[in-house]
Amino acid sequence: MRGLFLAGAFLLAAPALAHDFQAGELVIVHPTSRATPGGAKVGAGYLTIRNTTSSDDRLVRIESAVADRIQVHASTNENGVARMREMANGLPLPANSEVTLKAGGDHIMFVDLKQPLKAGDKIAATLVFEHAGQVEVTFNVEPLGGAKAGASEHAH
Amino acid sequence: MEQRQGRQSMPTEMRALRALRIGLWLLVALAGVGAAVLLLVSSGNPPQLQARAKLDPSFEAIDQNGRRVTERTFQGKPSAWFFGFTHCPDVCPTTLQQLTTSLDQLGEDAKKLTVVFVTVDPERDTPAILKEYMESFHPSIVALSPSAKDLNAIVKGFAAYYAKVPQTEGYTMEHSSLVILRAADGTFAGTIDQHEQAETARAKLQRLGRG
Ligand SMILES: [Cu+2]
Repeated sequence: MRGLFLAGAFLLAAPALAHDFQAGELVIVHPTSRATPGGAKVGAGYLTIRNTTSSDDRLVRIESAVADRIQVHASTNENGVARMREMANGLPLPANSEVTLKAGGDHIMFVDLKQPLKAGDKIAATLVFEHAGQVEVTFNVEPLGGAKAGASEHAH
Repeated sequence: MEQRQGRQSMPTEMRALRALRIGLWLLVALAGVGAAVLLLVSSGNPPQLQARAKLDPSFEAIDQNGRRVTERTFQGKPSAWFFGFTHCPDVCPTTLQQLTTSLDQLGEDAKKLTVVFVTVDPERDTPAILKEYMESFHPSIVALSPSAKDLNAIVKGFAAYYAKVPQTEGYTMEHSSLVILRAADGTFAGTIDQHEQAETARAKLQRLGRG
């Protein structure tokens, strides 16, 4: 599972502007993060993963030197209470579907950051999938106020 | 039960047994009610606030500048209260950022109210940690690090909610995500939901400040 260097070849071929990545048949769209407030020990990651194949896959692990631990969190903000819990078995990527992690919802969580995240930073990370192998991606760090506009726009 | 109603002459032992059985069923029923109440409490939805409810808990806490504050510090002026913690990747920075933007846009009106951020994780969020954290947000926002006891008093007084949730490693907090508005006379004056439009939130703060 870890020995798939094919994914790396796709990265080299991917145009920089589109900020998309590919692991096998999976497309990882626009991974972003947000600048962290002063001294914060945690950060968030957002992205969309498109699985156009007819078989289920799963994001099992994320590796990056930026934090001690990186988890996927299911997050709800309902009835005036914010809750999150670790998706211990990774992020399911059902066949023929698109999964989006975005501000105000499920997210990637960088736990125990080694350094603050600043707008303009690019976080190097490896996404490891159950079937599609692994791929190097970069999370573009947006300003603290930047991702917010998107969050307040989503209709509930 | 209906069958038994006709039986007039019941041996004493049987009556005692029946009384015992009824007593036991009562206990079961009581336990059921107790469990239901517990479930309601632990389901974690904060109690609903009535309009004009008095939000006035007694407490003391240390703010991000190391100053000791009490409920008196915030009395007599409209205020907006938000409960969160710095190990919060998404909801807390987003809300504080939204409050910051609103305060920036309110200009002079911003001075007519106090925005208070109460950490529900004082174990990690010391005043020094809060100071560094709050430097990323509007300078007028007061951040409070209370003791566990004072935190519970504040949370109860605002009908808010928090709970510590263990993780595989460490813990996280779940917490009220609404900004709770309090009028100058200490009464409940509405909430701001994170899902609301920025203009709505700003208008609510402006109205609150103008009283
Ligand atoms: Cu999280």
